[in-house]
Amino acid sequence: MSERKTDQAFWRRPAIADETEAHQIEDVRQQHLLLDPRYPLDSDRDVLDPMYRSSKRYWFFFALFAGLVLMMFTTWTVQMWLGLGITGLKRPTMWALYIVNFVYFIGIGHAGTFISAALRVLKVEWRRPISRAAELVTVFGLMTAALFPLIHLGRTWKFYWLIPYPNERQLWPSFHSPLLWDLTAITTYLSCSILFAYISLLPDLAMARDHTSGWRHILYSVLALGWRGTEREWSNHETALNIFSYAIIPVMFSVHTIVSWDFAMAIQPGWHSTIFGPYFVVGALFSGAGAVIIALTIIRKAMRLQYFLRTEHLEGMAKLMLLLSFAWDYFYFNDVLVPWYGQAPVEKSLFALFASGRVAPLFYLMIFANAIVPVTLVFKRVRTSIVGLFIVSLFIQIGMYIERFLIVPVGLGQNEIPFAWGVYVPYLPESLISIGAFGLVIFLFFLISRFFPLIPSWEVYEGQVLQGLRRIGRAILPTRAEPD
Amino acid sequence: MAKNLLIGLFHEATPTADTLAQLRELGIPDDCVTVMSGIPYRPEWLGRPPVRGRVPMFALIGAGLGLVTAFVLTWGLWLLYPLNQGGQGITPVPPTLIILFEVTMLGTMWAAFVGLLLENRFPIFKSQLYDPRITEGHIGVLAEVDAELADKAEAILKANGAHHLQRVEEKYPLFARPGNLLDRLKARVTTLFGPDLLQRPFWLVVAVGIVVLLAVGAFIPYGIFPVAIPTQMEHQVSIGFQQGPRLAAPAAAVPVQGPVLIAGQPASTPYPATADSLQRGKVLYDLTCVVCHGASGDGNGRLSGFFVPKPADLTSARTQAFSDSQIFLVITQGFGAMPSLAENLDVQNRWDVINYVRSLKK
Amino acid sequence: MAKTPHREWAMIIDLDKCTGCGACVVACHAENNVPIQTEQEIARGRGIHWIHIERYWEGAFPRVKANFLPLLCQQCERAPCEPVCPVYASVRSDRENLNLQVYNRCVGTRYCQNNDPYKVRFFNWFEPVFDEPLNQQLNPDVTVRSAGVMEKCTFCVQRIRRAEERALAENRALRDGEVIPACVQTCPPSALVFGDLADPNSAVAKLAGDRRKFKLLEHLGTEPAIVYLKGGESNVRA
Repeated sequence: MSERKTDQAFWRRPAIADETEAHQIEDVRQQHLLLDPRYPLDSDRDVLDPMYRSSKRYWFFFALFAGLVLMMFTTWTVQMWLGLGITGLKRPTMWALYIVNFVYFIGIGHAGTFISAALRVLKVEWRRPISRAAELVTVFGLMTAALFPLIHLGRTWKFYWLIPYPNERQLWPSFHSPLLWDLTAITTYLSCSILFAYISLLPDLAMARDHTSGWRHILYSVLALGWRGTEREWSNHETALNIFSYAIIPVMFSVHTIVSWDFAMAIQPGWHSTIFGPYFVVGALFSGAGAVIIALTIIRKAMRLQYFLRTEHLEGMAKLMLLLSFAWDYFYFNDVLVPWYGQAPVEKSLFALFASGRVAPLFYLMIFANAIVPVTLVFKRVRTSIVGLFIVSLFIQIGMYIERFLIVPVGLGQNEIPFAWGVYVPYLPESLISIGAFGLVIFLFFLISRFFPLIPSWEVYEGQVLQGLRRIGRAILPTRAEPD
Repeated sequence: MAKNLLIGLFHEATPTADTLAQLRELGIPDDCVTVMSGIPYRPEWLGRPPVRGRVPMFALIGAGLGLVTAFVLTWGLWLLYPLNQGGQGITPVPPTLIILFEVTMLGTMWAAFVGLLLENRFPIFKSQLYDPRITEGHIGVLAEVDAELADKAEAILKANGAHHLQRVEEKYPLFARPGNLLDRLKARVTTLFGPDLLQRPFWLVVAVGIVVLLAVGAFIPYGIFPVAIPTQMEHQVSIGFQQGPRLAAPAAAVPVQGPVLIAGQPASTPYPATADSLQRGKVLYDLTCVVCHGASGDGNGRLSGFFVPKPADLTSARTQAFSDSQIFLVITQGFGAMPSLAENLDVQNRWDVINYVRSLKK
Repeated sequence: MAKTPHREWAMIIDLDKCTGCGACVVACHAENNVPIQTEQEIARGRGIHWIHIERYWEGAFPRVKANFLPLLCQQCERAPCEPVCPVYASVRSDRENLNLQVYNRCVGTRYCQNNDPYKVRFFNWFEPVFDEPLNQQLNPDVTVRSAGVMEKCTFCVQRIRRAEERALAENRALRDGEVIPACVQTCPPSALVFGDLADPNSAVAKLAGDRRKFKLLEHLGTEPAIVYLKGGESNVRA
């Protein structure tokens, strides 16, 4: 019984006699969250405290974004009452800003799943503290995106005719239509993303339940479903998360592919392209990664989560974004080169429009924002600068929004019948609704940040248990234990 | 046999594993000991038998259900309502594959979630033996031991450094242990759905809720709970053949066909108002005129309500002031909403009717 | 009810005869209750004309030449607008080779217009307004479409139905020329001819074999039911 080896609780830091070594270890700890463990209660407090304390600034922005949401829904009601005619939509450009928003918000909903599911499957450790925020970007992005097909409908109040449901008309929706594929894919993706986020939230809800009192305690007790963290619970939890991770990745790819098929299935020049599927997926991940960075930088500052969200995580995201920027360049070039070489008249006119026509400023701004600005991420100084990353991500959002605008209404403007060509200009109603949609995503974040822990603390602790230090020569490097 | 419940917290994994090994040596079976933690410690790290969960089985069943649903939604509906949309044929394969994929994935993940809940007996809202410090990073060991072994077990926990030790006497065993066939069946049900399925109304509430929602949803389109939004284009602004008001002709409108009244000349040779003529006139009036102008000629016939303005009051001074020829032309050509009766009444009949109308004068 | 025979309704448009007078457009508006938009709406590209004359100019002033193209729904055999509709509002009638539009199924996704290469489907942006007494002239056989639904040329399906019912009542086959859509009825130079291609003796079947024939955007494989005839130069010079 005497000489049995024992491990230390992961938050205990052994005293280091050698001063140089202690400094070295301190340096490594500053850089890496997973090597910088604390007593979990302290970390839990860091996660939970911002939920109860709302500053005046919080309420100011809360009111601002709530106002934007109100504006959006008011405009929508007015539009339903008066008719879609109050927007700038017209004959050749039957789809315009609403569909741009739809594609854009579905797009930013892709990075969350990619980060929490794909990086989980690939065992990328820097995903741990950011996966919750990324999942929420997915859920809120998708919720907002799912509104747009409804806003866009001519008779919104008949939207349930699209649902396969035995109604009085004995009529079922047509699964020939890419819109029904969309509906199915988004239902799958949104509902499963919510479940996925909820499953990974369960242990955190239990944590919140154990550290709160009053109505919050009751709320978390109900939502935690009686989680105690038994072996069986953890084991089933792990299995479920793995099933979700592997299942939701192909669904994620399918969703934006199907969104691209909404366009590619139409025999509209500029849309009818086989590369649209992967091209849209990459574009979605690209803008999504940017959106996650924006969300993370704001959350980090506003909720004082500097302990959890460190430069290493943002740098990881930045590298991912750089890679996705190159991938986007590649696919965009493919999408442009083939029709350009074909010199089909309508597509030729479209390229003339991009290169020197009325949309040329938008086109060059898009190229600048999507292909040139992200190249600055090759410099470590930009990757590790939070302001720099924020600006690059903002550029990418603008660039990707323009990209969708150039595809949808500008693409529709030039078609096979030159007599029906037209120029689309957004009017006030759709502009207000689009601004309101951005407000909605941010508002939902404001709301959720008061109710649910934005850091998956159990995942962080798991990583802290598994990581350690190893000396190689003069250096001290982080190492990781792989459980399975 | 009374049971005692022991719960103790540990800081580190190694003493936890030691405790668990010693409890096993003491004769406490593994399924009477529960380890709880705020971090997913794998059972093998603590020297515990692996947990066999059935979440993957649930996911597989869900995938199968999803596949069948998708197939019914696509091919089933297409065969039920065969439409050759865009020359794609009745049952096009590529769209089917897309729906099959999506709905299968939907079934897989939803079922995995339901499986997770059922396998963990979630939700549990009654109080459980638990220590909130577990989410602070401690490892909790919960042992269900016979009363006579409880002191020894407690000593083991203490010796390995357990803190916040609690001991509770429990009358009922936490887990049913299989004995004869019936007991094993019961145990099977309890392991599948939790020890107190019937006491927990959660799943019943969920099932009833889904049924009620579907029913309410179904009642709205079937008009049982009518929602009066007139957007079905059932109210048309166009006017059908037999409906709506008949507008009067503009005041200055003149007939452009048929005889024209020339001042001083009769429109046709008048017939004298003999008794025979008046009798014939009454019969003809009752056949052709009475529905609008009424039996007494006051313009209150059965159809008069459908006309704006109302049919003329034939007894009025204004009508009676018409010359015979003017009345003749009105009958022949119609006037305003009044149709031409030339096909119903020949020239002599018209004079009979005129004579009869004259007799209606007050 | 007796089995209705298979029909292939088709229209011949002789571009060499068309003078671009626009009578067909007016007739169509009157027959099919097509809402008349304000000047401002038309300028914004919101005009609804189930048939309209597209005018393509050739050459530079003063030696310009107008080419007229009366364009209406092509009633394609493989209509691209049909499969993209999620609610079967744009639906195929294989029996009579018609591309139907069921107004009350439409929810207004407007996908059909995107996928329609001819751009002959129209959306009701606002509730149509027919000021008194214009509502008196509305055709009771044709639904007045509400806001938020798509509409398009139906080949005057109400006239087809009426003629078929009359033929059925009189227990005889439908005669060639018995069904005449409003635009065909009105066309002063008789540039439009309508009939059943399945009947080899019909006027359209004979004209469809003309060597001047072509179909619009034939390379897309939509197989339109409208055959255009075009021989020499345009007959209109400015």
